Amino acid sequence: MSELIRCEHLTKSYNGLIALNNIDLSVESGKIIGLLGPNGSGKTTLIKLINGLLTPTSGEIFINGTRPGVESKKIVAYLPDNNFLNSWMTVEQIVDLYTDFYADFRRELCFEMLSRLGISPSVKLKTLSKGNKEKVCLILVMSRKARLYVLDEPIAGVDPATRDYVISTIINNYDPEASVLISTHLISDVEQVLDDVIFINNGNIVLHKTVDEIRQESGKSVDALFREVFRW
Amino acid sequence: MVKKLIRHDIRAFARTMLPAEIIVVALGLFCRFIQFFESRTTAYEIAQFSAVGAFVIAILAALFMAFFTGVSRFYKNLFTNEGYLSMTLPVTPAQHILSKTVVSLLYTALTCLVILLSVSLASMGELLFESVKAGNYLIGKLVSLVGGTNFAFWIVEGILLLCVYTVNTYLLWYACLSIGQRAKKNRALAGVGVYFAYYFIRQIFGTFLVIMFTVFAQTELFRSIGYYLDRHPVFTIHTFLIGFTVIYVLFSLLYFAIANRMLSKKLNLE
Amino acid sequence: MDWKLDKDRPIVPQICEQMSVRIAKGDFAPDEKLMSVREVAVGAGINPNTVQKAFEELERQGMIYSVRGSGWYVGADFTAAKRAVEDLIFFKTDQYFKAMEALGYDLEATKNYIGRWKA
Repeated sequence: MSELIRCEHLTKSYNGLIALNNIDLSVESGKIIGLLGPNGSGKTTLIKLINGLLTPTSGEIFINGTRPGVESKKIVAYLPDNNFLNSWMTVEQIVDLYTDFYADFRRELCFEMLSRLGISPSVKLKTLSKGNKEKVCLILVMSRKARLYVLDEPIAGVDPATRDYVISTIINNYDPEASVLISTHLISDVEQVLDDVIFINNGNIVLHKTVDEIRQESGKSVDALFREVFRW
Repeated sequence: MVKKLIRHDIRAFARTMLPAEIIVVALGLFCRFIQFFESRTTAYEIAQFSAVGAFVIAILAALFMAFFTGVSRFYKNLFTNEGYLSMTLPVTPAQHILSKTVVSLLYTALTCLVILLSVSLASMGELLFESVKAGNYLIGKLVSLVGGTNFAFWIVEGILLLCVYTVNTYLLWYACLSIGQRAKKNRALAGVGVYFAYYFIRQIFGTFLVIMFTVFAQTELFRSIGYYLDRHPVFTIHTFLIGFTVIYVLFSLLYFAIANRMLSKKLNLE
Repeated sequence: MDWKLDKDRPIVPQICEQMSVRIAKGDFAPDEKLMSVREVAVGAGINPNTVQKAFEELERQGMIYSVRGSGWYVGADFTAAKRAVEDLIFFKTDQYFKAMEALGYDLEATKNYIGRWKA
């Protein structure tokens, strides 16, 4: 049980606009956490800070005890919201790249998952359909044996069958030493899989409880509670 | 880690550069091949003219492509969608910049060598033989004047200066693009804008230096320096070559530091 | 195994209920090895931690037990499970009568109605 994410009075602002407002957060290993909030709530900012793509304006963020940098990037597997694949590589070449740079990358598992989804290694990435591109991105990330997985909208652009596949991959990959942070709008599809839920709005953490606590206390699903809390 | 980055960058460049190099060599050979059909007909004249024209265009295109790939790969790989992958690799920004700089220099040098080779191939025979003879003669004369060691050193310093100048050019562009990506829209254009703004400032500063120099040129100190340099031409050339190398190295370090800072603290991936 | 999970109730109690029904019905032999926590999690599409909590609760109630390094096993007898199912039946019946009352049928009328019920 280690503390994989620790935010202390973490603040990030751009041009006077406060994206994250003095956040305190602690995420332990062995959990699947939902980061839920409307657009512009600060979710993406927090995710970028975790991945070292942004630096804090004030306050601290620690990933497994170190500030985001080379060491944290070795143990964090990030699935961004957009397609990060370049167009000219083949599937095999991008797998090679992951093998090269990430010591925790499980190459055989990756090829196994790709073949199960019918994606051939020699195919050029740019010829893949949008759905297949997302699957490849997900497989690359889940093939790493990371300590922290950060998935930004992993199921938004895919069909329901693939959603089930994504969710069962996440469950299958579960490791008590690792945690998965899922940022999504599609709450009702994932809430069964979550341990903890974080509601974030206007740069503040509004709620941080377990799914069962929420259902017990409010008598509603997390999805229903979300709609209530974030009603316009 | 830098070696891995370099390896992947080499592969990325090869996509566009290898065909370019092959085309240059092929057209060079074609120019030579054409000469076998030498005759005084207009058909031949046109053919030869076209061949040489195409060859020259290919050379210019290859040089431009080497430069453009060197600059655009930096931007594409680090500041567009690909940046979400690149900037989350367990690699420091400095390592990224170093890799791109090294590979850009490599391909620029390779392109120059390929061009030299192709031109030699194209002019193989009489023309090349005469050129080499003339070259050897000139070099011989120069060596007898200044000595073999000096000449050798000049060659080394010259090549070093060329490399440093190339590195400097790329790093300047990298720094400008890194500053430009902080803009909200049209980030690449902003980078180009930064480059031209800097160019403009340099022109102004250059004019200022020229004015200062003209003033300085009236002084006694200047006259005595000039007198000394006049008397020691070998020393002058060494100083010139090394001096400029040092200046370019210093500015390269500055540009590297700027790009590094932008990538480390001021990254603005969309 | 098919799991029917309501979204507005906590998951752990639902897993416990459905497991106790299966055990009481005799879906498992005494001391039979259960599916692993991970298998249940994947099958139900839920978090392994949740399954773990549910199994620990079932153990607390005496329906199943764990063997270190081996996994989870159904208890030797089913009394705890049967008792849990009885609690469930009571709860559902109570809810039914309350629902019928909301529709205007008091206890007598409802019993009458059931008496005449042909499935």
